[in-house]
Amino acid sequence: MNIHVFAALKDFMPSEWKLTETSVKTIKDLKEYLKVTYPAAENLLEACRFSTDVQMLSLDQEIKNYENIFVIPPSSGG
Amino acid sequence: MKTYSLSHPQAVVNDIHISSVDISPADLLKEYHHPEAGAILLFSGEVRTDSDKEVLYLDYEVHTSLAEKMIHDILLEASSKWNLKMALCIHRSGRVGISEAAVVVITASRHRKEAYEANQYIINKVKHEAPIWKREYFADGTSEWGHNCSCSTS
Repeated sequence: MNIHVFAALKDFMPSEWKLTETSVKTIKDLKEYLKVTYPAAENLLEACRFSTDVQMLSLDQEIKNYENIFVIPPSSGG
Repeated sequence: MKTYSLSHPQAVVNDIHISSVDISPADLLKEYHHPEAGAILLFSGEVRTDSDKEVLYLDYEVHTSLAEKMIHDILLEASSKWNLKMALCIHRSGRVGISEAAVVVITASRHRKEAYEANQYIINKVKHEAPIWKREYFADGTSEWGHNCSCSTS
């Protein structure tokens, strides 16, 4: 599974990487895994949402069915 | 950018919402008219500099596939809620200079009240919910992610 991150998250981790950690089953697991792996990004990760290519994912959703997961920091468009 | 479809029984909603090239508000306004709309409202969100720290330009990063869907859904929701005749939103990706349009929203309705309210609703939702991030580039050579974003880097 490929993980994609945007904006300020790229200051803490690569913009795209493969998740190989098998204990990560849900979006909530992924969020916790990211916070432990990149502790400097913890506050930002706490405010992030997660999505597929075209839909937001809730924390309890399983990730096994998705090829790509996107980590979405708070928006700053406009 | 100029493909239109009847996405809602009553409202014409534009299909492509993210543009990597310049947006011309004047050209869009010229194209967007509806025989049943007495009010056409255009909002252009433009890049401004800052009195404290001179901004040279912004660079917008976008999760394009998701942003396209979210903005389209926002337009359909607003069209239904305010009975719009037309709704358009186009947001830039990439580098945008001072006084250039970063986002344009057009709403058209029978009377002005609906067009004003819907336009404000659409731009607020797009700014706060669409997966779009701006990075500001300053004259002193520094840069930082936009302030709507709870970011700590510079």
